Amino acid sequence: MSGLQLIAERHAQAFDLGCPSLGVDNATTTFEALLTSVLDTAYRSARFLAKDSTDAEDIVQEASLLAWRNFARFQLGTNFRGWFLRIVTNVFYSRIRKAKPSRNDVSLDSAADAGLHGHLAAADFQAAELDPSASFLRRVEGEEIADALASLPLEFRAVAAYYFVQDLGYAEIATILDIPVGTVRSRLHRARRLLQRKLWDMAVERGIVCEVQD
Amino acid sequence: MTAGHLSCFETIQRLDLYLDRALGEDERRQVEQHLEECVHCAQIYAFEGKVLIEVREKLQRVDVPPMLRLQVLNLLARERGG
Repeated sequence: MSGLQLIAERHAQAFDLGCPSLGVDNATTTFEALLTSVLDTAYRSARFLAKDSTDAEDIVQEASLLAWRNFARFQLGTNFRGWFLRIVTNVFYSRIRKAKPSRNDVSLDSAADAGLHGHLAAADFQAAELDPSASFLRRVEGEEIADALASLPLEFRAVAAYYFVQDLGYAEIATILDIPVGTVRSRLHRARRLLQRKLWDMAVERGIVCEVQD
Repeated sequence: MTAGHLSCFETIQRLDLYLDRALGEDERRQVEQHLEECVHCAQIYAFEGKVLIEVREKLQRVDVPPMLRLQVLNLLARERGG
């Protein structure tokens, strides 16, 4: 834990106890220290949820404001990141409820796809490469993976954003999204297959690999 | 398949959970046993593991807008001022 985080944690505990001598200044310091420590994490998650960097910024700003207004409800000493990401997620869902619903552009049947490994093997990519995954992914840029992730249907995207981007465990994702752990597992399984399918399609489009015709 | 031994299909079905260290002790051992004996499934496991690491590593490179922190802090200052 960094010095700043430690100070924030101590202030946070005092604020939680309602220590009158600390006052709002220390609550402000505590909140801002906690918030800035998770801001990059929150932005990256919002970027994949919202598909768009401007929307992601708006979501993080709105969530920050809501978090400050509700900071007294946060149980200090517990998981601030999880608490804040849940607010980020709720802000996102609230915004899409107001917007026109969009149709999923991926058939759920394709989630049962064989995956990237199967495609590469079928295209004989393996025979030509000692390490097919490294060779394949070296040719795919981070932004392209980000776009592939952002194009997943919402229910899979939300789980995948927290799993791939934040490396969160099933239980924490379940808490943030307010869904059962079993649902996280099954959606993640499909999200992985869909993401691999999208990366494969992208690779075919760009001529990185050649699709094998039946 | 015999009791305690997984088929290729059963192993692949458990691969995501194995990668995420989310299997119980018995199933984890069964998957490991299969991966030690089956070159094909071991290749798929190695592939999936690398894809996961590479995807995570590349996604971490997505830039955060440099002014975001300042914008948020200004917003909070205005909120407190109002």
